[in-house]
Amino acid sequence: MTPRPWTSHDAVWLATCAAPAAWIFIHHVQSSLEDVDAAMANEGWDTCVEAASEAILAVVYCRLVLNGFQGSCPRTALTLHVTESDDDDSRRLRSLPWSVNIGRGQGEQAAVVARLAADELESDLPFSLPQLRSSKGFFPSIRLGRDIEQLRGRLGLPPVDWLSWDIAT
Amino acid sequence: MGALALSFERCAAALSRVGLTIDDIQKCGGSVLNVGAPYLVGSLAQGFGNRGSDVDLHLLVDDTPLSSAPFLLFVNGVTVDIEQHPISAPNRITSTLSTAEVMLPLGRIALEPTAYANDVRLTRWSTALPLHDKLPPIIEPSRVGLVMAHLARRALSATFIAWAAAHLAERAGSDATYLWRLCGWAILDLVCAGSGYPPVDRKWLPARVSQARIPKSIVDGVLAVTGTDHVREQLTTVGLPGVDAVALARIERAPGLQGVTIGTGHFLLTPRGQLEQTSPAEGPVSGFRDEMGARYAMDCVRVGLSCIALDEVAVSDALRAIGDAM
Repeated sequence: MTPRPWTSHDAVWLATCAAPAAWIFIHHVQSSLEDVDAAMANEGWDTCVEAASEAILAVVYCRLVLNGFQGSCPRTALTLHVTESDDDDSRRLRSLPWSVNIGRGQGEQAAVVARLAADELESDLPFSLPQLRSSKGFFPSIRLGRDIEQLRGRLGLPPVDWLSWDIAT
Repeated sequence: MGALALSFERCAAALSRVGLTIDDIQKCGGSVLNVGAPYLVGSLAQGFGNRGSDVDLHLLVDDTPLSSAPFLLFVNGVTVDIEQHPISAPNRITSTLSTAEVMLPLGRIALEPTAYANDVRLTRWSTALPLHDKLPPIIEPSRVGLVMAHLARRALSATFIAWAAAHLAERAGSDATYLWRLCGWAILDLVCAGSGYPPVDRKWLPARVSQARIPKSIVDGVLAVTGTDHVREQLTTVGLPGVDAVALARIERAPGLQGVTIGTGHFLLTPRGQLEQTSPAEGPVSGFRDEMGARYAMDCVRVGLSCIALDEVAVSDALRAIGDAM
């Protein structure tokens, strides 16, 4: 019998850091990637770059949350972080071109970079995430939220204020 | 064709961009849509969107005390995002907007910032399209210009904050290219807002620039922004000469910091759940002149000990002065 891979997670980290990071991923990263795909289908390369930029910025925010950052993040603070950091996602974001007056090649490249950043982040999350904004994924997302709330209850943690996790303008 | 019928026609045209009709929405929404007056809002209503766009609906409801959290429907594979709002809310909120404004080449700009922070909602209500041909606009047409003036003021403030942040990073010795680009982005957003094309989801900025017919010379100038002199030059080009965010911005202690003592150590607990041992930077942005001072201020903003705020009275005075000089 082949043993299953040994996987363990710090339950408090999962309930306080990974859960909100997953929420941000579902709300901001997933939806921006959908925008990237829609823009590509429409050959809207400028829109594609803007959506890719939003996706990667949300990935940066998720990474901060995975490392203990709590709550809403002001956009200015996040962009200063991107300016100063040497992590892969900040470098990716800084390397994107201006969205105005660009063509297919740069648009497609921005999409690839955003997808890579999102895939790497998703593989670091401790559970798989359904596609919230779809008829198939909506109810599984709700169930995931319920399961996380139950875990938090067992750990003596209060319910999550999900709407407080956002990039604030 | 009357104004109401025209808006209704535009609503049908906007929904066709995602392959839906008003009838599709009404059939699938059923009783959910019957509880109030339904309006199409967001990027589709503002003339943007593509086949992958969501349909955003606002329902104005008689007996809802507070706005509801959004909920989703799926119609022929298209996500329909519905929010309910009290029918009195748009009038109540817009009646609090100051009517003091200045007419500049850029457009109408409010002279006093509004305390109501939800730009997205103001934009959506100002540009909403009715799903029924008898529904009036959410915001009276006579007030839409005032709302636009306030949205332009908000865009101006965002430009100044972006400028101040880029300036600080540059002073601190960082490569501020990315921040100057965001500053250029904010200028384009401001020019669009001033031209009557209010903010919409950030990804639509290039489309807004195109829709607002912003001259190529302005776009090219903004693309070249890599420093304070460029920003000043571009703002002069769009009709805001002599403004200087570095003189108008302050570094302030961030709200919500709490002192914490652990043994002999004293910390500040930030709303982001971090313990910091540094005191928050405070003072005019122009006061952080040398590299070390600018880095201290920038790091305080970055970690949430401080924030960049504008002297809004001074901004208003600057706008008045530009208006008077015209």
